[in-house]
Amino acid sequence: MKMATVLEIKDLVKWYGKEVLALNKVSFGVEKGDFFVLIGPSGCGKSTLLKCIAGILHWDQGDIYIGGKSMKGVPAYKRDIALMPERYALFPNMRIFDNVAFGLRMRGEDISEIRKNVNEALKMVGLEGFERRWPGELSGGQQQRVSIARAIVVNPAVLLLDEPLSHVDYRLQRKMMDDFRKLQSELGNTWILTTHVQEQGLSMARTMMVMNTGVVEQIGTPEEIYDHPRTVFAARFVGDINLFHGEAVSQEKRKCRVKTEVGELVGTYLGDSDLRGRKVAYGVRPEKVKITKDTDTYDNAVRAKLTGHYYFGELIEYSFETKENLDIKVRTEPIECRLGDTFALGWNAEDGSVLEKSCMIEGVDIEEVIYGK
Amino acid sequence: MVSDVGDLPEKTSIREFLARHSSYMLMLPPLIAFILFMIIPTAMVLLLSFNAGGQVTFDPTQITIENYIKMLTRQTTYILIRDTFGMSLLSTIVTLIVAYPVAYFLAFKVESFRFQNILLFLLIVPYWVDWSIRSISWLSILGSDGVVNYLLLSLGWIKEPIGELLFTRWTLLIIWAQTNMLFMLFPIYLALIKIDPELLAVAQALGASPSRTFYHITFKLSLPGVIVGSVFVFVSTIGDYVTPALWAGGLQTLGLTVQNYAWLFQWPVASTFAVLMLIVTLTILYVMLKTVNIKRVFYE
Amino acid sequence: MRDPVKTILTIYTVIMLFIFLLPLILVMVLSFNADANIAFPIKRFSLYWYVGEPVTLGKGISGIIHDPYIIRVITNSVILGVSTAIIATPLVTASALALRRRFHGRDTFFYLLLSGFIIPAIISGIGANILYKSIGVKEYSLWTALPFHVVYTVPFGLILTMARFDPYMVEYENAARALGAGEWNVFKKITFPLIRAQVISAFFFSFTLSLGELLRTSFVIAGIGSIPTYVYNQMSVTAPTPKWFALGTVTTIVSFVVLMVIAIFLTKEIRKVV
Repeated sequence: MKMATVLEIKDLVKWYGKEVLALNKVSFGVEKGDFFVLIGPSGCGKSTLLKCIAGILHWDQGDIYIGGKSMKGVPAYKRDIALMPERYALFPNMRIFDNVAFGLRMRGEDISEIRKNVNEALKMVGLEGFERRWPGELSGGQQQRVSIARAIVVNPAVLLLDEPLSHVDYRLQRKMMDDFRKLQSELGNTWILTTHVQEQGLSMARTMMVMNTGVVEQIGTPEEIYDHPRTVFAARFVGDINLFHGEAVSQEKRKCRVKTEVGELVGTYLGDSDLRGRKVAYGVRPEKVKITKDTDTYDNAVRAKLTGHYYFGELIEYSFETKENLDIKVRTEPIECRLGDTFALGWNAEDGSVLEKSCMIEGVDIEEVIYGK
Repeated sequence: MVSDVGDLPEKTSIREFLARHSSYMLMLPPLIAFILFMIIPTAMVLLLSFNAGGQVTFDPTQITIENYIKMLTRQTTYILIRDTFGMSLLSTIVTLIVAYPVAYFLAFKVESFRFQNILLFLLIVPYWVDWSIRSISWLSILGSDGVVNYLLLSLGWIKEPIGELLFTRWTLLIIWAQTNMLFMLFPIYLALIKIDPELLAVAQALGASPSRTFYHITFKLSLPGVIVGSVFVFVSTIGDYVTPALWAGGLQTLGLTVQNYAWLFQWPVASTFAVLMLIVTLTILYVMLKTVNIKRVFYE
Repeated sequence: MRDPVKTILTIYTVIMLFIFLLPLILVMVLSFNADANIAFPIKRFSLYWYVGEPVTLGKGISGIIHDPYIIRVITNSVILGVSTAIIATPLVTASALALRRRFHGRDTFFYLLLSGFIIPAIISGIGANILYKSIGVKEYSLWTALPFHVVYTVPFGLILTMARFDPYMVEYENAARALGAGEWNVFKKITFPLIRAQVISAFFFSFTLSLGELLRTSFVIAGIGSIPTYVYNQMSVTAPTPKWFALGTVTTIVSFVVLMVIAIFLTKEIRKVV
């Protein structure tokens, strides 16, 4: 069952100068109608990738296909795309209306259509009535919203937004994320966004792709990546996770037993490799760890001392320290406790992930990724 | 009595005063200089035009508008205006067309900033040869004994030297273009380098072809520079009575008229024509400034 | 052909540069003409116009070195030029810095400063004349022309300087102030280094513009005069000879040397102080 692929990236390589490899043989595909979010830390190459897709940056090797056609040598203005760049780049010599109308004018739409669409776009980003203003009069967040409207209004096959919510207030962010999804499903085109804020990825994406220094770490739905990260990098970048390292002792079907510093833990492994005897990492999300008196109900149990807590509003994150001086964080509703008390922490095998790779870049040690780089 | 808000300082030191009003302090010297040597002289010319005869300084007891009446009722005045402003306008346009591509090249197609500066420096060097001497060198270029004729003769394209290359209106345009090129080029160059390249990239990403990007974004953004440069060149040529006198043969310009009257010590009449020149110049300036926002390029 | 536009523009620029520099080149080349005319091409080369001994018949026929009048003229122009630049450059800098902030009358101030270039030269010249007569200045000299040179060169230097200001300059200054630097230190250590290149170009332009200034000057200068007034007077009287071109070449070289010296001085001296 093959869905229509509107965008395909094949082995894309891009160098900045001679030393910086921004994109390291990146390959993936995006289905038509998808809401695709590229996440990763700064410098991972997501902006570079987006600009290559847009056509405003040249790449060195590999190819990009839009609608099945190779984009090699095809300049930006001939591609069926629109871009909202990271620093919004509003045209200072035009009023807001003309900025937003620009793409439509270039496509030769007639004035009544333009007016209608521009007004709708401005309403959607909450800037109704701003048509006659100049970019210089607007705040950073307002300018960003105009830039978003300017790209959205063009309604291209592939819409590219580079960090579209970076300067938008939290409340407005939530609203805009909803509006994006709604608008996209109405229009039916394909949206590709980048962000370094993984929560935005989790909330908005239908498909999410995690990048790390020019390499694709993992692609999947947010649930897939969150619940079953493939690498330590993905596990740490998306959400929080408690990580241990150790050696895999035994493996059967989808379960794997790992000897870690806090004891033998059993977790889920969805890959194909034989992990026995190998160094692996073991991770469990804070909200999956339960504070319990009865250690027999769970596959895994660790004793630890309460050392602190962090207030999240609806939940509390408790910090624990095992006798091996390792930290475990647990997120749960408030319980009766005192600092220094010892508790048993338990979780089941399906809540723990066994990770064989630190990240997709060869040669990076699991230990480096866990203990900080 | 304990004050709970804190006492106001009893006197601000001079240093503090200067620091806080530094903008105004900085402005004072230029302001004084310009009022003394720009505003007041111009005002004096204006005033003098309302006197008559051989007055040299303004005499408030003898105000008359006879100069204006004489000037405005003469047929030749209007011919003068037409010729002068016509030539200046033409010259400005020619200079603009010639200079813009060079400015664009320097701003966008020369990567190293250093090289840009070198080229700009090269453009200044000819200005150290005095302007009259430079004009004379055109004799050696366009004259019967000049380079052009020499080349054409030796190539066999003509039998006899062409004498009409000089002393025509075209000569004037060429010489003026050379003289004023820098004043047109620099403002345009300055406006162009301020354009954020990301604007051009995003315009293309929104569907504008390179030529449309140039027109809608680059050119429109460079307009303040174009206006400033054009005004500089226009004013330069309007006031220039020397070059047309030397090179354009019988062309009478406003500037020349003013100069003539000045030499005849008819200062008030000279002032009248000068005022006419000023009014037209300022009107054009006003219109230009209203259409384009030049402030954006130079501050903000 | 990676960028056809670039190729075309390069060719165009080269041609334009050539045409633009042609007068200069010719001036330099023809100044070595042994014959007393400025026809092209040169039949015989000679350094006469630079260093030739005076010929007894015909007044004023000699090389530049032996013509005290011309030497005086050159010196006058250079002194006037340097003085103009020395006065104009701080004025330009002060104005440019003042114009960074918003204040009432900011636009008016800006346009006022531009007026130096906008008001046609003759008006300025006549006005200057009337001004001096009204306040009783009877004697004209280099120095009576000076203020008008300054006022004329400030506008160009101003737009040159302002257009290339670093947009973060004020923020750097504020950071320095917050760290305890006094105003003078802020200027010395933060502002000036940032604008040094602009200040130098403003100086260059001021000098250059002053050198070539004829129209305004001719009304208020007397005596031996500046190069432009001298040449203009000569031109109306005698036929051009290569000596004028020698003058032009000498002026170019002298200007170059003067400006280089000053540029080096400004960069090194100020660097030492700062």
